[in-house]
Amino acid sequence: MHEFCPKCKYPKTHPFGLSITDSECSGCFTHREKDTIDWAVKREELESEIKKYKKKKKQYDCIVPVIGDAEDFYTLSKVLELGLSPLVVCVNDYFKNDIGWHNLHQLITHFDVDSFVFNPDIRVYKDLVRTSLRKFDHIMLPFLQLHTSFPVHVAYERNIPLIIWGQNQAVEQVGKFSHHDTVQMSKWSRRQHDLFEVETEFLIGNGAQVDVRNLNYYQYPAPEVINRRGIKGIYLSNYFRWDPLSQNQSVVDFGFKPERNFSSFDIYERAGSSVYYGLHDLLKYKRHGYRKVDDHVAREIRHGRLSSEEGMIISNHYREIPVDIEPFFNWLDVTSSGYEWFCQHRLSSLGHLISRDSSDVKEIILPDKINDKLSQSTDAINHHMLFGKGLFI
Amino acid sequence: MRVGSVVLLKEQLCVQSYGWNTIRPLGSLQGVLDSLEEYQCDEVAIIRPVRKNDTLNKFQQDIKVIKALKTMTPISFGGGVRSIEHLNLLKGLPIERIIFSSAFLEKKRELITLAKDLFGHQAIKCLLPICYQNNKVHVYHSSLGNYVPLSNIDTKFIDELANEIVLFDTQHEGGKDQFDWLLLSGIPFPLEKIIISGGIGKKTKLSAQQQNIASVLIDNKVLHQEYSILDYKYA
Repeated sequence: MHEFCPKCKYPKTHPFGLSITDSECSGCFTHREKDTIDWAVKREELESEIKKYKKKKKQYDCIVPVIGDAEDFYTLSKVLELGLSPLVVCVNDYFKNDIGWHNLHQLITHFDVDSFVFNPDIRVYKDLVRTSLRKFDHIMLPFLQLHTSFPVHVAYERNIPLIIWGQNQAVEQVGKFSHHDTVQMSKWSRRQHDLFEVETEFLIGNGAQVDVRNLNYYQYPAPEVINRRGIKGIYLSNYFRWDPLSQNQSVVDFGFKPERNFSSFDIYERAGSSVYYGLHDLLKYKRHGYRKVDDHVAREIRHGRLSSEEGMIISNHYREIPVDIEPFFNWLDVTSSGYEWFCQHRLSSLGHLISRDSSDVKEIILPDKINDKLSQSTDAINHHMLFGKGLFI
Repeated sequence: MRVGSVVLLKEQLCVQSYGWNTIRPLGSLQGVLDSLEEYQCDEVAIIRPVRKNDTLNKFQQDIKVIKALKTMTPISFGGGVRSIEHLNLLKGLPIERIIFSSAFLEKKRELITLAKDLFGHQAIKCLLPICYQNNKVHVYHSSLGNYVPLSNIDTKFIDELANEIVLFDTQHEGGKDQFDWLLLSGIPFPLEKIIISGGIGKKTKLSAQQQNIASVLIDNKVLHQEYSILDYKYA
């Protein structure tokens, strides 16, 4: 039995599951479909699919859930190119830094779209994050629960039956479905791929002492209800040849600001998050045995910008880069002794990856094919900004 | 007519198979069944896609997952039930029906009769993975790992002992509305006894209903969109 894909080096421990043969994994196999698909036909399929959602009056045709990521710029540009009138919906994860807030505002103002930013009750949210960390070694679950259910609630309440997502991660990362399956959003997929089977109810009870009335938007509506309203969620990566690094580089022209990244060469994906390449990445390493850079390396090997050998060198380099996780614990109102206890007991095997200072990190020389896709990046100044627009609490 | 689903269980996790040769991961069995129950799926056939290299130990590992299942949906289980030792492991599991494939092809009367005594005649299903090769219907013989002509199979034996027969189109597995109806032309079983699977779409379901076929089992497609079963039911 193979533990890693011989080609892209993805591990079998990937939480989405991975089928590995002697020559490649399901992710590599599915990626090769991209070279055989007639993408013009796919686009026609998409145009025919969305035709019935286009409204004649001044109403929204669809919802586009965003976080202010580079991919959101690309997705929104495609939605507008298709002639749709979107309502952009964002859930505040309270983890954004100044670059994250800049990018979110830039997204909305550059494309001049209507937006709706939901700020969940922060006491409830922090309680859930605390429990999620304690029980599941994961700090993003409450956000992911909201990010994947709140737009569906908005779709239902405002009668906007089409939700457009960017990439289907399960297809892009592990090739769980063929592009030809044109898999749609579903409660099952959300639980399996976004929540790792941890629904909100797992975070309450003996965890967070939260009134269930506060959790409505964390929970996905019943499929029966969604079906009755005719709500459908589609993924653009089933209809456009998806190449995140190239796409993300292109959105710099729209005013997207990349962020310097010490934990991977990818300066676009989740730029503007105070935790994504910090504690979140470390916990991912603890849970699954690989870091975010391994996702990036696998992706670039498949796109032919890295060889397997180059990929391994890059992964080995970034996998050993330490990160500063203390600001997260300050955000969570954990005492310094609590922070030290956590590092000592819950991150004992990863102690060498915790550091307050990343300035002495050695640079790695990247292959030209990767370098050509990277733009100028900057460092964030303010981290863990709860709200944007200059208001800092 | 009943609209159910086929779920493949490999190494304790669900997988999807395309065209009988490509495996893609799916997820946990409980997660899949929770959704199918919510979708009002009439029945679920959990099948271990095993070939000749299956072992009792692998079977036991998969049985542990079946044992832990919590579901109200009627479950059929099969794949690698090849001896009385295997059969004994199925006692007390939350399953309604047992699916045999190689046991029927190898005419293991003692094994199937014992299963019939333990679970009842209505619980016995025969799975025939079939395809068209050289203008003839062939059946995939799982324990041998190859196709054999249907003409070499004792279909009377199957008809006598199986309450229902699942005809699985291996070539169109994972496809949409691609089930090959020609496969039924040489099949000597009454249509009311037949369940079809492999490449089922809404049009296939409609045709199956018109032909009085007992049931359709949707393969991979069932989890590719929300509340899919209802769409098939009212197709």
